This record gives sequence, C-alpha cells and structure tokens, in this order.
Amino acid sequence: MKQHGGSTAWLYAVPAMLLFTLIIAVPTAMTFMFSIMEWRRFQPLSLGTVQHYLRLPQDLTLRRAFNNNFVYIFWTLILEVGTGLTLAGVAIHLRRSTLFRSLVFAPVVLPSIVTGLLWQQAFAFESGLLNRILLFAGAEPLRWLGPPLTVFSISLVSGWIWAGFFMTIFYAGLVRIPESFLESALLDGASPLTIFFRIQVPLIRNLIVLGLLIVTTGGFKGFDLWQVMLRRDPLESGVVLPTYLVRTFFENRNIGYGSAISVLLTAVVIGIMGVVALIRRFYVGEMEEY
Amino acid sequence: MRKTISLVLVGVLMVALAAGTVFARGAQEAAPTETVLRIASSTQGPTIIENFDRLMREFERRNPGVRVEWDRSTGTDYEFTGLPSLLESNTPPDIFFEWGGARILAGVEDGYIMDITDLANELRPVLNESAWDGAEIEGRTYMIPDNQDITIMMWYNREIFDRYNLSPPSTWAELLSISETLRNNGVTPIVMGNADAWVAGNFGGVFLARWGGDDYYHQVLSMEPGTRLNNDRFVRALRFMQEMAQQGVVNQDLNTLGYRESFTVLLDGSAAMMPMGTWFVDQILEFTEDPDSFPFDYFNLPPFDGGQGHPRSIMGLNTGYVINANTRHKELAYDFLRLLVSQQIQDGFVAAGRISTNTAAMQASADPYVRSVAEMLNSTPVLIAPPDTGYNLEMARALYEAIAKAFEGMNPQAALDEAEQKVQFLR
Amino acid sequence: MRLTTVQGSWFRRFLVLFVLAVYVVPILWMYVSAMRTDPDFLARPVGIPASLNPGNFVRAYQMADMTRHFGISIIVTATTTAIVILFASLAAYSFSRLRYRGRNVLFGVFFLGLILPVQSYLVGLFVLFRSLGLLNTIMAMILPNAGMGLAIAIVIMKYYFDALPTTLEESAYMDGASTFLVYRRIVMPISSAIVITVSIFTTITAWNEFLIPFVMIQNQRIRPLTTSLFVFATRFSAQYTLLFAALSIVVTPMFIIYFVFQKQVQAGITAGALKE
Repeated sequence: MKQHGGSTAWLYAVPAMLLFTLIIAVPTAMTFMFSIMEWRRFQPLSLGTVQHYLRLPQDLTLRRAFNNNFVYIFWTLILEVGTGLTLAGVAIHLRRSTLFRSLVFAPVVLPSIVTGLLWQQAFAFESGLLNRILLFAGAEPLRWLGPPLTVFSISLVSGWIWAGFFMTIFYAGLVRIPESFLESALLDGASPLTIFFRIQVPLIRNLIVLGLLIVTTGGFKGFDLWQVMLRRDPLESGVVLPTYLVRTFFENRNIGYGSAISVLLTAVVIGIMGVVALIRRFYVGEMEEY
Repeated sequence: MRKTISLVLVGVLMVALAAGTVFARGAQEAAPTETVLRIASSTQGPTIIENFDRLMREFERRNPGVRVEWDRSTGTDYEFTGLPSLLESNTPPDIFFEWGGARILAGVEDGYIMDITDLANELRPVLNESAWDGAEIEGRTYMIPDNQDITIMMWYNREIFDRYNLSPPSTWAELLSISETLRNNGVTPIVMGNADAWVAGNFGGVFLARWGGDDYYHQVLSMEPGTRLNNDRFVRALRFMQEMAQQGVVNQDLNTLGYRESFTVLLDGSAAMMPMGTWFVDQILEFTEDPDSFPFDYFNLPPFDGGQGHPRSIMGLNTGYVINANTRHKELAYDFLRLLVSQQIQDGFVAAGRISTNTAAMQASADPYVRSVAEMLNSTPVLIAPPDTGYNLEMARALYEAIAKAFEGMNPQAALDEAEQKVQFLR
Repeated sequence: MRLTTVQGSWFRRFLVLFVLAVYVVPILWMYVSAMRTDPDFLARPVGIPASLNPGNFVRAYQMADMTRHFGISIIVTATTTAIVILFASLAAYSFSRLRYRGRNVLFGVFFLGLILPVQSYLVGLFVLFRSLGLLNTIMAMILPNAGMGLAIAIVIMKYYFDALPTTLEESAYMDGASTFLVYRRIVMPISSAIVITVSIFTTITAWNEFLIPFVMIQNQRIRPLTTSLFVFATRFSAQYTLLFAALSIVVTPMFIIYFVFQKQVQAGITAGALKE
C-alpha cells in the first residue's frame, strides 16, 4: 500500500512518546546517573564516583539476594512451567476441560498481594492450613516461611498463581497441532505419554522457550509476594534483588547505592533476554511450530 | 460502533479525570478556609487512640477553623519506611512522633526537625527532668517528650504462674527452672513475635549490654572507631541467647511469628511470658475480649553472673513529638504540643497505663502499675537505648539479624562476623 | 485436538481431583474461616466451624474503608486504561500505517521499553515525582501505570494493525479522507477485538499494581485497594477471621467478573506474553 503521512504524521506518536519519556526514559537515565553520584539522603553531592559499584561485589546481602533469585527461578521453572506443561497435557485429554482450565487460571487475575496474604495464613505455623494437613497426616509441622524453606515456599505460591497461565499458553499450542501428526504414532501403538514427550512437546518448544524467558526475567522482577509474605524477614533468608533495592532506597535512603543495584538488575534482566534470544536462534530453529 | 468506542473512551477518560481531581483534592486540601494540622505517629492500641482522639477534638474546639488529621496508618513500617516517605510526600506531617536519641540527631541533620528550644524551655517546669534525655543536642532541644518507655520488661501470665506454683524469678537460674516447669506442662515459656525483627532484637539488646558493659554497648552501637560488632563480649551474649533457644525457653517459630500474632499466643495460654515494653498494657486490649480481666504482671529480667554491664540495667527511652522544620503552621504546632503535655490530657494517658513525662499527672495517679513502672524507671542504675531507635538503623538491622540467628540456634560468631561485614560500609 | 481413543486412567482422574483440590481448598478455607469467630478459628483452624456468621464481612468492609479504596482503584484503573488505549492506538496506527522519518527508531524505543523491568527506573521515578510535587497524589499512580502499560499495548496493536487489510483505507483516501479520519472511522472500528484485549490486560495489571502505590502513596485516603489491604493486614494480622473476610471481599467481585468473561480475560492476559 502507498504510505501516507505528510509533515504532521509523527504527531500521532507524540502523546505516547511524552508519557514514555516522563515515566520510563527520563527516570531510567536518572537512575543510571544517580548511580555514579554521591548523596546525602536526597541531596546530590558530587558526580563521578564508582564507589557504589565497588561496593556491589562485597555486599553480603546482595550475594544472598542473587542466590535466592536463582533458587527461586529454579523452583519456578519446575512449579510454573513444568506444572503448566503437565496440566496442559492432562487438559487435552479431558472431555470437558473448560471448567478445569478456568479454575486453574483463576489466581492469575488476583492481585498478588491477596494471594500472598492468603498463603501467608495457609503457611502459618500454628493455625495454617498446610501444617494442619501435615498434622492430620501424622507428619511434623513445618516452618514454611523460615529457612531452609523460605524461597521454596514463595516459589510454591508463585507456582500456584502462574501454573494456570502457562497451562493456558501451552494448551493453546497443543490444540493447534493437526491431528494427522499424531495419528500415525497412535496407530503404531505409542502410549499417550510417549506421544506427549516425543511429538507434542517438541512441537510447542518455542512456547516453552517463551515460558523460560518469562520465568527467568520474572524471577528478577517479582516484588509483591516477598514483601507481603516475609514481613521484615529477620533472618534475611528470603531477600531478593527487588526487595533489597526497595530496602536500600526507601529504608536506608541510600540513593546512590540503590541506583547501582538498579543498574545491576537491569543488566541482569537484559543479559538473560540476550541469552534466551540466542537459545531461540540456535536450538528452536525455523521448523514448523504451534 | 466506530463512534461508540471513541465516545466511550473519551467519556471514561473525562469522568475518571474529573473524579480523580476531586478525590485527589479532597485528600489534600479540604475547604479552603480550613487549616489542616497533620500529625503522624506509629500505630497505637485502643486506649491510646481514644485519648488521642480526645486530644484532637479538644484542640479543634479551642482553635475554630483548624482540623487535625492524624495519620497512624503506616503500621509497623512507620519507623523504617512510613515516616521517611511521609516526610518526602507533598502532604508532610506538621508534627510527628519520634524516639529520643540517634533518630533525632539524624532528623536534625537531614533538615526534617525544627529547633524548638524556646517551647521546651517554656514547658520545662511541667515535665520531669529525665524526660529530656535524647531530646537535646548540644544544648538545643528538638523534641517535646510526652512518654517514658521501658522497652523490655518480662510480662507473664499470673494465672499460669499460680497454676504451677511459680513466682517471678530473682535470679537467672530461677527463670530457667520456671521455664522447665512450664515446658514440662506443655506451655511455651517465652513467646516472641520476631517476624518484624525488633522484638527479639530489643530483647537481645539487653543481653548485649549486660554481657558487654553499658558504656561498651553504647560505643559499639555508635560505631565508634576501633569498635566492631563481632567482639568477644557480644559473641558471648549471643551464645547466651543461643543457649536459651536450645533449652527451649523461647518459641521455636519466633522468627516467623508476627508481632501481633504473638499476643494471641500469650492470650490463649499456650505461652506464659513475653518480653515487651510498657505499651503492652495498651496493645493487649486490641486482642482481648474482656478488657477487665488482665491476668498479667511483669518483672525485670533477673541478673546473671559473668557480665560486664550492670546486672539490673533497663532498656528504655523517651518518646515524644517533633515539629517538621518545614511546617507552615508553627504556632499551631506549638499550641498542639502545649496541650498534648498538659495535665488535662496526660491524666487520660496515665489512666491508660502510660508513663507520662508530666510530673503532676504522674503524681495524681494512684494506679499501682503506673507507680511501680515509674519507680522502676526512676531507680534504675543504668538506662540503655534500644539498638534500632537509639542508634543507626542499618547497623541495628544487621545486629538484629545476628540476634535472630542466635535465637535460631545458629553460630553466634559467624552471625556477628556477617553483621560486622555488613556495617563496614557505614563506618 | 483430543485423543479420544485414550481412556481416562485412574491416575489422570486422581491428578485432576488433586489439582482441583489444590485450587479450591485454600479458597474455600478463606471463605469458611471468614465466617467464623477468632476463638473458634484458633481452636480448630481447619475443620467444621461451630457456626457460620457473615458479620465479619460487614465489619471488615467498614474497618478497611472498602468503599473508598475500591473507588480509588476504579478511578486509577479506568483512567490508566483510557490513556493507554488512546495513546497506544494513535502511536501504533502511525507506526503501522504512516510514513515519517524516525518511525522505526521510535517503535524500537518502545520495544526496548518492553524489556526494561520497573526496577530500572523506580528510583529515578520516585525522585522525579518528588521534585514535581506529585508524590501522594492520584497522578503518581495513573501516570506510571499508564507509562508502563504503553509499550506492550503499542506492540500488540501495531502487529494487529499490520495484519489488517488496507483496501477500505485506500478507498477512503481516494475520497480524500485525512489520516485522522481513517484512524477514527476505519481502523479503530474494525479493531474492537484488540482494543478489548489490550483493555483487559491493562485493566488487570493496573488494578493489581502494588509496587508503585507502595512506593508513591503514603496517604491512607488515596491508597488503592492493594496497598490499603496490605496496611489493613498488618494492623489486623492477629484478627485472623477479619483478615479472611477482607480478603474474601476483595476476591469475590474479581472472581465473578473473571468467570463471566473468562474467555476474553484469558485471551487478554496471555496476549501480552505471546507478543514478546
């Protein structure tokens, strides 16, 4: 089609651009600049220091936060993507799966603060749902929100929320696979499990890589559950980069160092995106996908 | 269809913006003729709230056209994030609650707190002399104290103690044997809700001072040059806490139990003791069905051998109100604080179990509890400041983590080494 | 597709029941506990309640000042969504249909915005809004919510517009229509499906936003539902049944809306992810 426009065509993008500049572009630039400035609370003192970056590798809490983030990503890969895939595999075999699927998807629409508070109660040592079930089953109660379980328990809640989301995505991919692809295998007498892992899962692998991307980058962005469920986290067993950033900035009022953590977090997230893009390029290839 | 969508969109936008403006304005500025005096404080229990409401109504009656707005909504986060954010907001409080000591110094340095020496001098005759500790820096006064807190005293359930023939201990060995009796009867001896980190932190602070020495405690927590958190005396103190945990003296879920939840554990009788401050009396009313039954009493932590500090020291501090350095209502704020510490108002607070700085209100009270706490405060050989409100907050957080770990049964030396490594950047 | 030849095994049946239990039991526990008294709940946190009493819902609704906070959330969410749809559709239309210098660069910038986590600009945003005097105003929620929602909305809409046939537009131009007329009369009317999808996505994200109001809003009177509920939960964390009642009140309308519009909601939420 012929391109239309003229001298005023760019005006259409102006409102979005202005808002984007105000909320994202300028603040990002400010954050990067703050990270090389010295501060006294909200008073900028001088520009051009690298002290905040020098502090990063020596920071014990930061190391712990990174560690927790990686453990969290490990668990959520299993509990969100793995469970989601399993549930999708189950759902395609159900005669009427709509109710099942909408129920499992339901937590996705709730504010994570609500889910977090509900599960905080469910994890309570004395009055919690889970420990009551354990006691009923004759097992010892667990301290869910303390070490060594802290990160696992938060991942469990994450899984509860997001497994339905990944199930929906994978399910949509699975039902798009033409039946003809599976018929020959069925005739050969392959079990549904074999068909699932040998034929169906490989065919939706671009969706699985997408899941990987969402979970790995999301693992470094999540804030709500940690903040809501762990209170002040006296043992620092559940500190993650986003909560440590908020603590550094809003509690300790350390703007320079908080900004340096921001920059680090940005670099990590973008780095992961790059890695996943490479995986996509080399391992997913151009084969037909659903 | 085409028109509908754009019309709906524009309509929604207009309505929302209009409503938003109204709401936002409603939140900031009431009627233009009305002056709003904003006060911020941490959360309080029911009787304190009641008294504060009375105070505000009285102030509004005396100052027509003035409305007092009390923000106590930031919950337990007031100390850490709530107050700093409020001060940075565009509806900052004119008057705000503070803990005397290092926090006042920090607030003055940051330009948040006004020099109110003139008001203090005017009020000096009304208030008790020791009230001004922590309110003054280099001869200038920045806070009007209204309350004297003991931060840690051991509250116990009298009915449970009676049931097992126990009486308040006078030595540490007695406390341990009481604990054993309780444990054998299925009662948790001491319950702490340390999920917010400060309950065990304050409790542990007492042992740091009693093992380390009172001056030493102050020097280390002030991060004076040459001191470090992972010193032998503090390691010894943490080992003491670790032993308490190993002997089953404290509840095993202390680091995940919330502050408020711990009160329900105490109230339903599954635990017998709780280290808590003077505000216990007020706080517990939030959870009890029957406000008249108060089966609790307290004792000071019994002394133990081997420490360098005073064996009967008390942790406590003065709290009060400061005026925002940028307030536009200085005169009103002065009047408010005058009214706050007047006997008329303080009588009510004393009746609610608070230890007032107003000398006359305290003398007028016949409440045995108030009198005995006041006696305990006045006769204490040493008053030590709590680590969080008395010293640097980041340092306190690192120290509290070490204390929480000790109560968790973890290695004290390693815990304090970590804490020291964390505060390196502050030195 | 459906493998109808495969019979449902007992294992699959068990799995389905187990999964349903995992999702239903906590929710059920919340509703039942909300109607109990604290002593009853503490005596047997899980089990048959002594009696059910809906009084907690009324108390929780009043004590948490729900009308106000629902109202704030509705205003913030509606405004955010309106701004995002308006701004994003205009920009996406120009990226997809109009020709001007810097067009691709601009689109690239938005694409970059898609991958930046909120933590990259949170600190700067706070300091900026502080100096603009916008902290503790309703705008400190609407503007960031809208700004954060723009990038994904523009990308989704641009790809949608790209796939639309242009014959109608061509004939409109023949008749001398302006680009704005084409946007308003042709492109937008046939794009109602994507407008709905993006609206749902933006609405749910804005409604559930926690970090921005947590950081920006300290004034109780204009807290949205999420942070006000957090404050409520801190204050009343030991009044268990009251807390459950408050949670139930917040959850129920969302469940109703979700189950009525589940198809669109699921499509709306997953669309955001699939475009990445």
